[in-house]
Amino acid sequence: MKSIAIIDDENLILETLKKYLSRKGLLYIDTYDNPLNALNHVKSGKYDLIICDIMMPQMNGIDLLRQVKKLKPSQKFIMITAFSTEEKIIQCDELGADDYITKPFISLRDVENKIFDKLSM
Amino acid sequence: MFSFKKNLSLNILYAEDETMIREPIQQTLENFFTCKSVENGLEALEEIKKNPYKYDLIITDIMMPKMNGLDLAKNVRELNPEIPIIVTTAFSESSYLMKSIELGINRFVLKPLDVIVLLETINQTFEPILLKKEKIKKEKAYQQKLLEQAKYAAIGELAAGITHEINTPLTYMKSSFEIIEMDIDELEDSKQKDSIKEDITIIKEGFQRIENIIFSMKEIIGSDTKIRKQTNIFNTLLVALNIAYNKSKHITNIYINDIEYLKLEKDSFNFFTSLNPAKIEQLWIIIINNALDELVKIDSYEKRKLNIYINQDDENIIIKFKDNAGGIKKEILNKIFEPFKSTKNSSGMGIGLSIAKKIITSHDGEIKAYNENNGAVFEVKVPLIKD
Repeated sequence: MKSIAIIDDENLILETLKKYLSRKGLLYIDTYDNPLNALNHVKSGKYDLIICDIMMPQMNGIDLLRQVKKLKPSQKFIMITAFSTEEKIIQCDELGADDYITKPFISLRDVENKIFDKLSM
Repeated sequence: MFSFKKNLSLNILYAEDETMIREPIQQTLENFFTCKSVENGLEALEEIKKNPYKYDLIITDIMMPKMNGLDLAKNVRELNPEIPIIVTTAFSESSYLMKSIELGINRFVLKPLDVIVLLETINQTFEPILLKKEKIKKEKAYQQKLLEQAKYAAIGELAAGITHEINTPLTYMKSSFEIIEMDIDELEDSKQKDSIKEDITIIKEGFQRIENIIFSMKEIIGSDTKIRKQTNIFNTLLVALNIAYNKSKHITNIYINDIEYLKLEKDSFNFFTSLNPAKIEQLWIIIINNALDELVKIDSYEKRKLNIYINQDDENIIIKFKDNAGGIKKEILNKIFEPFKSTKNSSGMGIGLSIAKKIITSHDGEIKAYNENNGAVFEVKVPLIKD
């Protein structure tokens, strides 16, 4: 089973995503509402895919992306953006993010499709 | 020959008691300016009292019955100290001159009047006034611009604050709702299920509406970037129409170059230029939604029309959106692209078209709105740029 980590400071978003994505029973999902806490776990490289919000209070998603990519360049990332400017998206792209999702999500199915696509499922 | 500039926005009041002089001079002046003539100082004063700022210049004879020119000047100065006064006089006596200077008479023209000299004197007097008027006009425009910028800044701040706060709950509400919808779909068919599904449609429309507002807000908040690529504008139109389809399907058929849009495919037409596709799509969505909101006021589906025409000339790609919803009200037509000028009372606060303008301006293009055949036309020009 492929495993993913979702990092977002909003718990209700984490819960909804986890509830939906667990339904098919195809993914192992961990969620983190604190990026600093998440960093320790995702650095190990145990996740096939990391889904990470950009704007978070303790540490922004771009910094997290940068730090993880330094350790594991092949780590797959999907960034979540709400109000990120195009510069930020380009920055994520340059740092090696694989895709991004905008908030509010077009639909959960769309989120799922992007995840499956990146995991070649 | 001297040439004098015609300027009918300049108002002259001319006081002269002798008809033989007054009438020909007035006729001459009327070729260049707006001119009213009166027969004596008292009449002139009455005219000034009605509106001390109506006239830009007073020309007065000195010797007149009822009130002479110098008394007129004295009285006028009390009402409007600024207005220039030219005195026509046969008297070159120093006592008059001294009094005239005290009264602040601007210039003298000697009688018998030489029309050319009079016109030259008028022009010399008007020159500083025209400069001042021009300056005031520029100042006013500048103030207007500052005001508009302040308005934008205020909207931006407000929008950023509110939008951030709304976006997060919107995200999980919409997502949870999607899950609810899936669960309901799995229930066995029943009357209750049908009823719930009807309600679901309404709630979804509500979500969509909130999302559209957030979407427009993002444009105001987002910084201007120069990410452009060669794009087929026609395809951006299709994307926008597809996004608007949920709404448009209940309202009207939409045609592009007289072909029903649903029958068209990607690259059915080719109009390439360099642009930011996401922004341009948003521009179309704003214009289309705007048209749909107007069209829905027409009572039947069949009577509503929305035609989009796309073509190009040597310099621009021109896209016209033409509806038949009665046109734009005259009072707002020239302000329609300013924020908060909406006449709608249901679907928005009138920022959509100001965003549209911002998008197209950042592409060095133009947008204008006008009425034609009982409908509104939004015409957008996007410059042709080859990379």
